[in-house]
Amino acid sequence: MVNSERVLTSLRRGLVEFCTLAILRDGPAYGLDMARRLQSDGLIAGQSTLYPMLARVLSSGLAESEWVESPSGRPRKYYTLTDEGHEALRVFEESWGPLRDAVDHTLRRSS
Amino acid sequence: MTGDELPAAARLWLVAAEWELRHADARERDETLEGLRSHIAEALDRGERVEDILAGLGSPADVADGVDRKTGDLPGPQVAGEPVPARTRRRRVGADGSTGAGRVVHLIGFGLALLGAGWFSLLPGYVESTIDPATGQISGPTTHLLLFTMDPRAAGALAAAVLLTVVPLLVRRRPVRPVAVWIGALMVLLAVATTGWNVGWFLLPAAAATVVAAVLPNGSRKRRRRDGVAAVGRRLRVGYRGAARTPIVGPMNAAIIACGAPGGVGIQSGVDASDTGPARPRIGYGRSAEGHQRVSVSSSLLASGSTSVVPTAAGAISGVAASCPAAASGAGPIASIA
Repeated sequence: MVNSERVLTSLRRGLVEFCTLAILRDGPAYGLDMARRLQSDGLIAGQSTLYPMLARVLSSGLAESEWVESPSGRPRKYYTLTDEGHEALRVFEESWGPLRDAVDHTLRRSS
Repeated sequence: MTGDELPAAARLWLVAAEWELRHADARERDETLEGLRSHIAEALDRGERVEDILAGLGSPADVADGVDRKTGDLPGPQVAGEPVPARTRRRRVGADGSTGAGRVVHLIGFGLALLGAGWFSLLPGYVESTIDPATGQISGPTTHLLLFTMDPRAAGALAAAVLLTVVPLLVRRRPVRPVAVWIGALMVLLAVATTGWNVGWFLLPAAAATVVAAVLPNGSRKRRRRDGVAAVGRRLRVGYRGAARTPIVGPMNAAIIACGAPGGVGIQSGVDASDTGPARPRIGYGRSAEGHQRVSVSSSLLASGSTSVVPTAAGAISGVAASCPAAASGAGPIASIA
């Protein structure tokens, strides 16, 4: 049985990573902040799904991390977009627009 | 706050998440767990309740879903060079539990079973000659195939055996097929062993293929048919004329003599003790048709010298033997007079 949650889960895969890169384009961010932004935007269901994604982003060189002292005294791990990450995000944006339009066109035509 | 300083509920959640990540790349797993611990600690420092934090994180299983992105429909930017999670490296196995190799071998076994059954059926059952009691002229010999002369029950059993070989190929449920294959393999081997050089010889190639299919991982189901064939083979050997013959008897089929005894006297029964242990009526039947007697004798009986033919008229038998083509060609006496 296909339900909305299943459809969303399938659609989110692959997209959320670029959305994460988009968040980092605005500047360094740490995990808790990014997780809650993504969740509030409806891009992830559970905040925990962000962290394996961040691990992949780091291992692929699209972002890098560093520990920074926070005002509360606890070090925070900040993530920063690399040049490769910027390029990957640019390619995604170039592809996403036509893809989104194509999907919308197909859905409208078949309805 | 280190991991050990986190509340028990958070530590348990992290342990569960670590378990869910057991198939992930070690580096990414450590990075993920580090991020999760930092997330929980940061939220706790903000004064949030641990229950709310964990609820926001979701189920530990969700973490593994994020790792196993190979199952996703849309590739992300890290596809290239991304380590494949161990769970995606499983060997491809069919829904029925068979591997491609096992299925192929199973199909080969089925083909061999079919070939064996066909070969067996097309062997000459007996050669028949008739003697006109009035003129003394011998007509024939005419070769009769086992396909048309074997006992109907044996033919039915042979066909059933072939069908049984197909059934395991159609079994799709995983727990069923390996069991069927193994049982079939063992039964066919047993049948080959017990039938010796008779029907078992025809089953031997298929038995070998079935065993190979059975030992393959998640092996196939070929043996089950063999098994049925083997069971049929035992009945065949007992139940129809000439069943004692083996493939090596093929050339010897020429020595299968059918002679009619003049004067209504003929061989009425025979005993084959060559390969079945206890002697049992095997060959020889008398049938009257317009004064002709037709009798078939297995060549193996002649070769073994263990044949005991009971004539209704000894003198007539002797005369027939002397005039039979096989006897004349040196194949040996048709029968010994009891």
